[in-house]
Amino acid sequence: MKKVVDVSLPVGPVHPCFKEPLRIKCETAGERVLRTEVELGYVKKGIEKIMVGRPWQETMFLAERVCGICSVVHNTAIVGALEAISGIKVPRRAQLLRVILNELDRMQSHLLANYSYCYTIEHETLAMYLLNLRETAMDAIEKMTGTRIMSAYVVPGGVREDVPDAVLSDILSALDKIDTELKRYVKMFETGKLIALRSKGIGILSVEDAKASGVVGPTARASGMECDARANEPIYTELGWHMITRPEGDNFARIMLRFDELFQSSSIIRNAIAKLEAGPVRLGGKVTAGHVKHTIEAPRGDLTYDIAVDENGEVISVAIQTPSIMNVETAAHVMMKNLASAADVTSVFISADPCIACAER
Amino acid sequence: MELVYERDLRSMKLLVLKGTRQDAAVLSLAGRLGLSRQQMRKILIAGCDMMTLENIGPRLEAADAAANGNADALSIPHLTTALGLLSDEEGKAFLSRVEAGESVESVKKAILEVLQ
Repeated sequence: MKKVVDVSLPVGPVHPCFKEPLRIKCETAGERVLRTEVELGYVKKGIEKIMVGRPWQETMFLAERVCGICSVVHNTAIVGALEAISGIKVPRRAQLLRVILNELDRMQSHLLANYSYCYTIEHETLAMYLLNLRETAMDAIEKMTGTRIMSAYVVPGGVREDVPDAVLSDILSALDKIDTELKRYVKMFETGKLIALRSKGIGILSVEDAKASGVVGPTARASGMECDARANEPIYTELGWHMITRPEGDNFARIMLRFDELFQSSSIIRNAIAKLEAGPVRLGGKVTAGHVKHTIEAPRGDLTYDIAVDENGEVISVAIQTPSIMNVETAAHVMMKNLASAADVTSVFISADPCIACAER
Repeated sequence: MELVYERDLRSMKLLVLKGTRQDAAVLSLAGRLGLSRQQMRKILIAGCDMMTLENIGPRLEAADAAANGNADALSIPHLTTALGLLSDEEGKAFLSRVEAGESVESVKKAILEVLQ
């Protein structure tokens, strides 16, 4: 069989910097990385195939199991797709509660991504600060839904249960803590001389390459590409969302963009809580036959559920296009191509916030 | 050199290509090149790594948007930028043959010979 690359430096599948297993096979000339090949298959779950033939009530829970980090957004995406097929309406209070939960999920995911990057470039102090701060966001999610991950909080026609005022005030306190501490950590990152050496001008992704590879989310926005599925959701614009981009396209830009989005998410949650009014959180409805391609903005970028269900609500076919598919591929084939130092392979890869569980579904 | 830790990835690559969206992308590219699904899968499995195969849909969509004229007729952006099955130089060489007056069909045939 034809070889894609002539491997001289295998990285992984088990590596201290990787949260999940995958193998990057690098072809190098001295320190320079010429090209890379990615080997998957260590955590393949086959969830798309398992979903086929099952009723939507089961697939809702299966969707959450695609990814342990952003399970909330998979729950929201599949339920959103079922609602779009069946024309099910969601009450205003439930819409705002969904925004609050999804933005908390984005915050914990971005904090984890930036923790991983700082850990990879050996700034363990800042890494641990960020990981500790992520727990504040995780605690807020737990208070709101009853569990840290896989909460099945979003259901067709609304959310599973209402959130008491006391919990909303706990969430506001958590946001105060995150905002205050994060400012200090961002300053540490922005002004750190060693961080700049490992981050600025490393793993550059130009806007042309970003468009050609289909990269999405913060990774694309850090290369100056304006792409965010929240632009198509009027409720986000109403809550003060706006597109954040950076022109540099390097490791530093990708991490800083996530820090900027953390402050934005915090502001969106505050606005959503301020606009919450008493009312129902679940109207119900019946899932009917149909086919839809539904896209929402996950923490890592566009998440698309292409799903068809029959009149009994059983899934006929489903394709899950996770953002990590595009982002991992681009990190390996574009950002790492002609990288000046093999030592930057892991940091460039982690800066794209790869999720192998999502990529392998 | 045979390395003991190198695995035969062909069956796993085939699994990736059997995904709903990946299969649709394979069929669309096979249609462009006048190949069967199996022939197209064989070329992709031999020439692309697993991550490219996972991302084949968005990459081919970007190539569709970028392609025009002779490059579109020969699927040059699809085979070069999107999938890396041909180098940029090879792509330009095939394109210049059409611009020099050779028919699209005969150049397409030459491209398929290189791919297979």
